[in-house]
Amino acid sequence: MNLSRKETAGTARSRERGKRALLAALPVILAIQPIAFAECPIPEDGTLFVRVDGGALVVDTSGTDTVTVEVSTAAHAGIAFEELCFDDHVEISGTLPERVYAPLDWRIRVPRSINLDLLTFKGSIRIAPTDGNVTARTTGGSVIAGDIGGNAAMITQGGSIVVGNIDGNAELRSTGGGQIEIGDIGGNAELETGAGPITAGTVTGRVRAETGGGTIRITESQGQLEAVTNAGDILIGTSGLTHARTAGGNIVVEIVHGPFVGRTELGDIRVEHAESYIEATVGAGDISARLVPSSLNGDLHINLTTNSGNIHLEIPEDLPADIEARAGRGVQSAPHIRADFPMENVGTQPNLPAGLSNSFGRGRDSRRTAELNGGGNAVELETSRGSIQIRQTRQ
Amino acid sequence: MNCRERQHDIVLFLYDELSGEARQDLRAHLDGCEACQAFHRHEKQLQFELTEDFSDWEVPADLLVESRRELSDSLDRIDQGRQWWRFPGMTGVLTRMRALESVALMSMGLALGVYLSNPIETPVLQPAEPSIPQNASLTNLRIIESDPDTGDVELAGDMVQPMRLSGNLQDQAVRQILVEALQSLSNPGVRLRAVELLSPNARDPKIKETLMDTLVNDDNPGIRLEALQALESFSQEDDVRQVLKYVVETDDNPGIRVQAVEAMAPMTQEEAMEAVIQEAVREVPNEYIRMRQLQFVGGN
Repeated sequence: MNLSRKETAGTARSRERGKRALLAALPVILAIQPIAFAECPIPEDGTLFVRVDGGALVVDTSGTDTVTVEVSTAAHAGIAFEELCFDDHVEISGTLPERVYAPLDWRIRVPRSINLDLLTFKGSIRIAPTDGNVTARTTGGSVIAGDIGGNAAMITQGGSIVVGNIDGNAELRSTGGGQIEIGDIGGNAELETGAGPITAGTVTGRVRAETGGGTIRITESQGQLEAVTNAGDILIGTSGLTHARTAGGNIVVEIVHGPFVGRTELGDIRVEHAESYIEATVGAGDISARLVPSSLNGDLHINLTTNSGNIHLEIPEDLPADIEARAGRGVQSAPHIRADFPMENVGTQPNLPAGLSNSFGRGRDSRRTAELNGGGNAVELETSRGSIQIRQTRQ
Repeated sequence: MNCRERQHDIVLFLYDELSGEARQDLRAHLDGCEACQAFHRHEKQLQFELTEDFSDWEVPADLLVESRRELSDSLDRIDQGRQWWRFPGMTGVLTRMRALESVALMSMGLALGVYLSNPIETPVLQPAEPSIPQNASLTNLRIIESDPDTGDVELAGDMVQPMRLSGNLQDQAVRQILVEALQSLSNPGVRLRAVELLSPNARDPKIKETLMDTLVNDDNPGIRLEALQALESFSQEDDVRQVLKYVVETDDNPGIRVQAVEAMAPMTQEEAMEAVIQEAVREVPNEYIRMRQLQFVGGN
């Protein structure tokens, strides 16, 4: 049964007038049969707006130059449908009865090139690969999409978000909770979920990823990166300036083309290649970092602190630095500070008379200093219980 | 003899532990004392319930084995926790076992005295000094007792020592540590990792029970979500289904409620109706969850 309604406004100036006329004269409120159908022409760069009370939105992008809509449900009574067609966009809205006792899908077929602006107040959203921009919002349900050629904004109040590659910017939020999984992103990425893991491929721009609990994995961020989780690991392949924080879990970054600042309450921090300053704080766990600056100019300070754990640092042999390392120890074991270069043992209370520094006050801790290549960058390493090892590498 | 002493006799009477004369004496007292009559009725009822009404009890088949194991573990722990300077007879707690120990010690002492009176020289064993493991640190140290004259001192506190254990997830010890971590550690990152590691073995009853407990009680929604996903494949089992239903009705996080609803699919109409009501009275109901529940009510 064909229940389609086509309407085209003549010009942009008359669009609003035409819309008002349509709303007044053609309130296309149609009772939908088990399968309903509507059709509107749309230009290649047009935009489809969909607003429905509920039900899943299923968008097929294999269409040519029209928007077609089918409603698939076994409980069709009371469903109302309205379609407005304009030169550059199409508006579709649907209302449901107070209670819908059967699954309901809005099946929408569109050309791949158009922009999509989709809203369902309750239901999942599935979108085939598309070349335009996509906005998809739902109060609950998962959002699944193929590759997207433009920008993407996807928000659900509860449910997972799984998307292929996005050529533009990406804003993906599952406010209630659900995993976020995405391929490569051509722009900036805002990824946020109340709970669940976040996984992303290569991001050309900056990344901000935050989860209430779950592991964050980013293959590459060519811009700056901020990753925050209340529980779980943060695993980064390559990134620019990096801020990473977890309440519990490991932080592992392979290559940082810039400064690194990381903090975990419980877990290890491993920075395998950092080109600028490094600040890492650990409640309990080891820290391993390697400074590999592209130039010795600029800020290359290092601050590594752990309450319980070992510290391993590698620095270039020509790095100008003022090094201070402090290691506490267990009840019996001696603190260990080892370096590839001589360090002066200054104890923990430098004002004590010579010979007493290792026996008084916090003398059971070990504190050593060194000035390398005339001094300069502050390198501060501290563990309350553990060992410190500093190695010099030739670049 | 006052009523309190009589009531002590009533208990013995009910278990046929009272002599004939005392029994007659008690009967005579019961005839004239309402308080003791009431106590007698109460104790008799209690005895009846304990001894006669056990047919309805569901006693796990492995209760005996489990109890023996726990008893054995507890005894091991007591043995391990016993300090070298604490001899059994010095505790001052007079139990039958202590009395036996005392008798045994006295016998040993007499034997030792006779033995030492012999002129043969024997090496005297000195008690080992308390030792502290390498890399250990002390916290919450307290001085329990000290005697400046003798130099004796008793200290107490927590000794923390780094631990590194290698094993396999199939090892009971490894699983036990992970379960313990999930139930007791405050750091959410460790709990999340524990769920991830335990999930493949969720068929193990103990692990399944721990995951269900985590799904209901853990503070962190990410950990609850991970536990839920681990339990999804068991959603048709009664115990898991009850937990999922509870989560749908009570969890504050809409993302977890959504996932729980999907895991329960298809809900029975009865389950769905209850859930619909719970969602409706929620301060901020989620429309999607309500719709899905109504769809289950519709029988689809």
